[in-house]
Amino acid sequence: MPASLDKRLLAARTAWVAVTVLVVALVALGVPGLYARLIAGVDERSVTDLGWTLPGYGTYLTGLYLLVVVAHLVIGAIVFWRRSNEWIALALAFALVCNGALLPLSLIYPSGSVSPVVQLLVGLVTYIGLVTGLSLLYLFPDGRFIPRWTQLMVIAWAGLLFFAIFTPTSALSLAAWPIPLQLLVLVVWSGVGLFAQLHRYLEVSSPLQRQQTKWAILGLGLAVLGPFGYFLPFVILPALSDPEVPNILYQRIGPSLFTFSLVFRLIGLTGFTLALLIFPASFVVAILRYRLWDIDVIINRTLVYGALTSTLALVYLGGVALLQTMFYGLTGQGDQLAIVATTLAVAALFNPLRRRIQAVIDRRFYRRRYDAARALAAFSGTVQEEVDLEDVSQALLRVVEETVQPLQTSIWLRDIRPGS
Amino acid sequence: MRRSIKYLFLLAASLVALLAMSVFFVNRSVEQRLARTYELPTEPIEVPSDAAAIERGRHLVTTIFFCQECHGEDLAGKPHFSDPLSGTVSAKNLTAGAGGLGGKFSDADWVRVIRHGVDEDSHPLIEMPSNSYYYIGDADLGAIIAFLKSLPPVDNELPERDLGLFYQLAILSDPSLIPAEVIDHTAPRPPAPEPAVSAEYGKYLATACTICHGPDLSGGTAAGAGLDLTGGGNLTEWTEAEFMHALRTGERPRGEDIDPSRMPWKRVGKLTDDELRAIWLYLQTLQ
Repeated sequence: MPASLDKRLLAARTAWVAVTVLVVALVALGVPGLYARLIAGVDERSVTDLGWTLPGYGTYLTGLYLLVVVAHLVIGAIVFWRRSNEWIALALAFALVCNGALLPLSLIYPSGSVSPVVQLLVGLVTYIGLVTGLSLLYLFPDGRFIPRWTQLMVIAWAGLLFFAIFTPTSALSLAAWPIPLQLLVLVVWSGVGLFAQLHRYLEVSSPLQRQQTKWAILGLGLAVLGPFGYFLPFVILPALSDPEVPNILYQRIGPSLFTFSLVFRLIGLTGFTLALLIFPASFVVAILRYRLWDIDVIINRTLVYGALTSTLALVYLGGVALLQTMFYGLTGQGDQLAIVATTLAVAALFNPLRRRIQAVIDRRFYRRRYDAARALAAFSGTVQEEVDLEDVSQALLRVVEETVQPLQTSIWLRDIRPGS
Repeated sequence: MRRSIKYLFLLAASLVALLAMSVFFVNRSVEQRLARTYELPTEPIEVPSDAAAIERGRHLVTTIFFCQECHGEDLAGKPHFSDPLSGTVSAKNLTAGAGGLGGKFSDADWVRVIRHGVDEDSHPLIEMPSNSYYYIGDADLGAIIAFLKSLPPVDNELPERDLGLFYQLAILSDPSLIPAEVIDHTAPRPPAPEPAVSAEYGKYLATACTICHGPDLSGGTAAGAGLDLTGGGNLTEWTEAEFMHALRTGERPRGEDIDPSRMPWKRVGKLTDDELRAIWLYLQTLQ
């Protein structure tokens, strides 16, 4: 690698670390504010009429937004850790880290209500997220612009976003243009990106690249179309859960209208927020299933231990709550007993659960390994039951073809009969 | 695999069709009810124009019947909802400004709206608590109309009503949201009691309290609903003085604050001492 390229890559890696630290700090510092904003923005009456509590509502939505941030951060960090010597992977790491935080940051630090410095930092994260997100659509998977003229689209996009985010009131700012024009820009830029990917898919990519990119492009497409999805809830979701509704009107209308709207709002927000996970999830599939960048082992371990930790935590919390209730009903006390019993149960569950989760993930993403294990098990059964050499040979050839998938298979048997 | 996809598709299509039919049914049902016309008996109400009557009307509108809670402090109306799923619903502009009812309503129109929940075209209104206001006496109704006609004009053009699916569902689940449907428009109206420190007058003054505290003032079931005001309810240990202090200052006997966003004590606190005593007397009669 040339020294100048090496230096540029080092600078980009340093920038990624700085941006990641910035994102984590902005989100972490903003969590109490996000929680407060969420519960202040909903009508306590409709939450209560739904049989929920305000803290429960706030915790649920805050957790949902944090899940999106953490999922993007984890996948971004793994890609950075294993493949940051490649520009395209580094761009993906930037896009993941920044795009995952876009929605929570916009809620935590609404424009115009925070200091200019914070506004600038949030703008920086937004800018990097939106520029790298669209650029990936033009560059993925090999980092080259195909067709070459599409690089002009990316340069123009970076310029448009710069004015929109850092000088939102200027005439050059996309944000100051009429809504139809903004939509046109989004449609054109994402449409050309999707065209570029289609062209690459049909004309340029190898069969393996096609397998890898079809999943990644799904995520990229959704990330680029994200701005549409981001505004959609605000357009169609009811604004009924408004603490400003006078109580006399609330009581006059009755809770049904408000609880309908709150349920719909919760379902909508959950759906839209979880849809944001498709971006990292599609890359996870591409990496795990089609060995994109050969970092599947790390992702595999992350998935296994992430699922294992979550499941054990749920078992632990649920077990403690259940056993405490049971013991309390039987003996009038039992906090310590419940904790000890649940801890022992969790310890006993660790290995069987890990094996079970590993098997599920292998079955889902490591089909070949899973099928190979099954084929070998079947072959060992055949060998135990079969005595005819010809049949055993055929079975051996079959299992080798199924598991290793060679171009050609043959068996050489040494004749050990006397005189041969 | 293909078969399961086919079944999934059929299931999804059936659900969508069922949903579409339900939406259509709900929409038709509510629209038909709102398109109904009500032929009402003519009720000659004398609308005075003297200052005392207008002042009485102001007191009734701003303090006793809580009209400003929905129609805004200047009674020029305000939007309640505006989103695709709930629809567009506003409380009307009651002044004579642009978009207001004051410039176009006759006295008879005011009577129909307030007492029967029916608009000038004889179609039913929604939200208006006319089922509670049906028993407002003729003299007080005349005073209310006199006050409304005296309001300074405020220009406030509000969007036309356009009910969304959620609002239509709410109407289906609570018929009283179309008050004209639950009012017996020919029911005899007892003469309004004379203002006095009496339980009878207290009951008359507490008419609008039933919106939040329930028809028998035993408390509502929804979150934020009013307390149980009956004997054995939430005011059991209160004295008359504590009751009046609470409504004047927003402070309960044990020192807790009354949330003004739930109980409009700042409006109720403007009732006269005699009016509060009358209400207290009435509450003592409730079991």
